[in-house]
Amino acid sequence: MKLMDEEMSSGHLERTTLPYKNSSDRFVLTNHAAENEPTCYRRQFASLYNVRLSAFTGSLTAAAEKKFKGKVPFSTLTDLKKEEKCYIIGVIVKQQKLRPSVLLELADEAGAQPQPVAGTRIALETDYLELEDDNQIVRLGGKINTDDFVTGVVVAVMGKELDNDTFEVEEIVYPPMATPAPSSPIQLQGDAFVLFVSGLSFTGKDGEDGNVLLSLLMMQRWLCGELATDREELEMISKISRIIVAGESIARSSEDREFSEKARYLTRKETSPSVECVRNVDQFLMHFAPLITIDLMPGLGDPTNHMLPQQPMHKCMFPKASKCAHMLNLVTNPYQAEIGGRTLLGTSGQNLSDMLRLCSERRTALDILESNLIWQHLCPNAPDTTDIFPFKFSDPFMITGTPPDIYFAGNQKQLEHRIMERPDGGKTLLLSVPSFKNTSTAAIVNLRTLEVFAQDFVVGEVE
Amino acid sequence: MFFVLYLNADTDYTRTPSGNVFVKKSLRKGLLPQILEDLLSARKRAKADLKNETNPFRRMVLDGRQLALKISANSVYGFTGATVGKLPCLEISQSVTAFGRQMIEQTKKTVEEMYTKEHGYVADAQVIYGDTDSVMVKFGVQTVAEAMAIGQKASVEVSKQFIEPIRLEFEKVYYPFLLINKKRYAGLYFTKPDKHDKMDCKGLETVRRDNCPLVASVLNTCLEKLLIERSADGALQFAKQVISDLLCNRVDISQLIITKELTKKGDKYAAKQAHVELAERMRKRDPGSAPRLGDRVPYVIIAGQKNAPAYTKAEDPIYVLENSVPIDTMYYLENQLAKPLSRIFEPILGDKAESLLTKGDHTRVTTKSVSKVGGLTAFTKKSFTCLGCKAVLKGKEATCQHCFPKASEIYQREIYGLTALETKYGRLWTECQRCSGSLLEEVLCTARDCPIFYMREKVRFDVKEQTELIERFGKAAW
Repeated sequence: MKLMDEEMSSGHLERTTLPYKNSSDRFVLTNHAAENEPTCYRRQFASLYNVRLSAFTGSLTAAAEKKFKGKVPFSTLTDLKKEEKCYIIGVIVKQQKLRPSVLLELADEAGAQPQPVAGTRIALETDYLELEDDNQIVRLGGKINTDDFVTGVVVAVMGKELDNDTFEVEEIVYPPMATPAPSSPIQLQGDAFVLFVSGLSFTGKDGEDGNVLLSLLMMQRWLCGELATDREELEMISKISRIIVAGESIARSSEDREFSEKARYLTRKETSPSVECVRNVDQFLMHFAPLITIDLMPGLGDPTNHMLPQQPMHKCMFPKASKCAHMLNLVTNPYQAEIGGRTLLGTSGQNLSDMLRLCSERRTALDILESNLIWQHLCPNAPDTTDIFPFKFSDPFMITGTPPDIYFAGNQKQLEHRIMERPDGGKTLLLSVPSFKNTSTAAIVNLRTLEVFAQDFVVGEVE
Repeated sequence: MFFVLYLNADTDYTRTPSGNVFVKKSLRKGLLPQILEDLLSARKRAKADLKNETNPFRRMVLDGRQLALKISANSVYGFTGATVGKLPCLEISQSVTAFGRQMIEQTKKTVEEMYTKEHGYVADAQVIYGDTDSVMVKFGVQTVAEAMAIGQKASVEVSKQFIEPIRLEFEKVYYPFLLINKKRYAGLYFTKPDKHDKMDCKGLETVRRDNCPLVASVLNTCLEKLLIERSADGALQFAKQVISDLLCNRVDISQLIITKELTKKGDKYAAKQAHVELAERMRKRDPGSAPRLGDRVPYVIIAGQKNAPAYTKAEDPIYVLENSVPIDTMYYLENQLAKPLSRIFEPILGDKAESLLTKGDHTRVTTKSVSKVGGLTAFTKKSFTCLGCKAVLKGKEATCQHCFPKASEIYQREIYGLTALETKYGRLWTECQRCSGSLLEEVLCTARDCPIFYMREKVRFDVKEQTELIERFGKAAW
């Protein structure tokens, strides 16, 4: 099964272009000279937590002082006195019995307890929270919901330490959000759209990729305006200014893992199983890039580095698409950009999927995205359960400055979205983009109104 | 003055098969039988208690007690045979083994006569192995349950021929069963017909500390594949995979560590010994962290000069990792893995087992790390080779001109190597961070017995190396 090979020009449609600025500089590792020093892998992860804690301490202190009007004193955990009201600042540690552990996995070979299956929720009633500052750890109780947090979030909590050595929380203080710049100019005159798609999950096997290829073919024709039923739709299509491919273009198969673990003498002459998948991605890019600008983000399983931030996928893998290089944007994951005056920020979903796993069913994908903005951190669960580069001097995953207008995560079960009314008065669209392979659905966002609608490209079963 | 004893051969004394003579208990009961009866009845009580106990902890205690009593009872005859022991009486031990042998013979005869096709059984029973006090019979039945029933019946039949309190107890069914040679066998151990209790290995290289852990783990997995999955092919494939990994320096170094206790100072040992020499060398490098008397010295065998004496080839694993000192993989293959592996594969592959394992395709792809210390390394210059065909390059680009069209494939092979290492790096170091109990403090742990300890050190070097390799492909964007 191949995508249509005939030349398609964007000739029939006059496509709107919007002012665009890639503002993902902080996610490009080579921009962090100090971080990227040759000895960076000698580091441990403690420094990352330290950086995060000290970065938030200032704003948290200010917020707490304002909230408690200076009536409640600050205390370090060392100076904590029983039954005395105060507020403390630290990193949340969520103690979970089912937290996946390499140590147990290794012991498993010798017949220890089994590890939880990937993808299932691992939250238990017995989980509890602790707060760690630079010297000590205290267990948290009272008005704080274990389910609302994951390890690595930095907060201030107000309350008092009880006799049983737990800290009874009365109120939680989050770092205050920066107020949006007053003259945030929306440069949009009329509607303008961005199409989000994620999880093409090419497997390289014809039988399995058939559906995705057909759906993509359909999308290609739709983008050309060939499938539009009326003028309105055609007009809308012409206003889609770019596609954001949010990761996992290549399916993580067990084969890949086996390939890297397989004995060298067996794999020396074989090619990586991803080669065929990458060829399909190249094909897809080749057909779409002439039509529309594409931002290609890497995701879990894609051929680039594994630790967040993932660097752009390497050009050498897309020889065919390179012909339209000016329309093809190889970007990082996470990715931040300004399109038509709107700020977009998002990931391919590793962070969200992991956080969902750590919380109970009660918490939906959108709840967690909202929490991210409140915590002002894209991925507090890294490094604990999501792999991340061992940063030492800065934490680029903090959401500093004005919060984004659109905050998205790819590769989720279904398309979900809602508008979050931020405490600073602004609005953010929270968007969970479904896996295209499973749903054949793309999400289309109206940049002017922040409305979202789903566009299905479902084809019948392949005969 | 002397007495003449008029004793009747049948009623008053027994002549044992070894020609020794003992009076019967009707005349006078011996001391040992009393001790033994006490022990056996105590064991019986412990076993009965065990049956009624539900608390798992108490069950373990009782199980231990009945085992201890069993071993005590079994060893009573042993010290009568030890001439330097407390109660030597060779006549007793000789007689016991002679009786044992005779009873095994008798059992063999009975079983092989009784359980034949003529008597309506599926196959002729065959005694395949017997040792002092046990026999193993192949009944030729199809299922464990049948074997268990027939074994139980046979044990009752045979016991009838023995003098009280001697009984032939039915103990277990092995299925499948791998008999390597005398005192060496392995099998799946069944005491209930539906599920095996464990994999039982006797006399094979178990967790002996002068072997590296790799041997035990490989042997164990191979046996599991042979016995539980019933896949001789899978077992062989696995053994080859491990050997290949070993030669490609992909085995975790903790698996290759041999430890020996430093019992006395170097000059007190008669011959030079690897771990003593190493301790001395480590003291020269850093007196603070060097092993002291009574410590167990962990070391790995490194590739040295040709014909270098073995005691110079031991090295501290951390030092090996930090300086990428090459490991003497052939030593591990030939002196550690080859013998035990070929022993279990011989019954399956025949005589060529050892050569199949130590030679062949899987041994031809190897990785040699280049040491950063010692020898001529100070005078060498590093040049880059093409990642596709290994041709020497002038610059540090990733591929030669000929391999350039294949750059995508080569890149993918290497990048997936990197992702695997990065995952490992992340998982291992966060695990240590969690294990240490604090997120904000650096991990200081130096627990060398932790399975993660050497892995997390090695992965640091591996990630760095692989990252540098990926950088040779140049900038990602157009």
